[in-house]
Amino acid sequence: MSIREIEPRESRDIFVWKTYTTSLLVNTGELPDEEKVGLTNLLSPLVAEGFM
Amino acid sequence: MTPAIWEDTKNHVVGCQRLVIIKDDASPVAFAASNLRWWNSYAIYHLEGIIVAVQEQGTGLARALLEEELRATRAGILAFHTQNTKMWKLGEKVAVFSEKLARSLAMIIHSRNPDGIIDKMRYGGNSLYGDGERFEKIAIPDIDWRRGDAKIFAGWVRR
Repeated sequence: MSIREIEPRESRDIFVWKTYTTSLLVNTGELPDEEKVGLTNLLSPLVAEGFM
Repeated sequence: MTPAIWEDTKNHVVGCQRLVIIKDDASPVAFAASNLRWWNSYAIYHLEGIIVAVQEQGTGLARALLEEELRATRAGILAFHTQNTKMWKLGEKVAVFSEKLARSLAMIIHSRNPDGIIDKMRYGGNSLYGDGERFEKIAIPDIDWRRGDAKIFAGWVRR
C-alpha cells in the first residue's frame, strides 16, 4: 500500500537510543478509501498487540 | 486480528487531523492520532490514541512521541480519555493535570456523558480492552472501566 507521507523527517535528538523515521499524515479522513483501508491494515496489528 | 480491533483502529486513525507513525526500518512501531482543538486562546492537543509495540514499551518512546507532537503543534493543553493508569501517568509526565481544566474541556474533547471528570460508559458499556483479566492490573481504579467509563485528563503542557 502507499501511505502519503507528508513532511517525512528523520527523528531528532529525542530518539538518541535508536534511529526511527516518523511520518506525519494530516486529515486522514480525506484520504482515498483504499488508503484508509491500507492504513488500517498497516496499524491494526500494532493495536492488537500493543494497546496502551 | 479480530474485526472489532480492525474497526477500532479505523475509528482512531481515519478521520483525525494528525497521525504520526514511527517506523523502525519499514515496520511501524508506534503511532499517535490526534485532533487540535481550541479553548479560549489555547491550543488543545486532543490525543485520540497512542499505541506502542510491545517490544518498544518501557523505552520512553511514547513519551518522546508525545513531547515531539506537543512541540510541533505548540499546544498549551494536553487532553484525552483513558481507562489506563499507564496512559494517565504518561499524561502527567508531559502535562500538569488540572481537574478544573478537565471539567471545563469535557465537552470540547467530545466526552459523551461527563460526570465530573469521568465520562460514563464512553466505550458503550464495555471496556475498551478486550482482555479484562490482564487489563485489571493497570486499570484506573476509581472508574467502572468494565462498563466503559473513562477518565478525562486535561493538563497544562510542561515546558
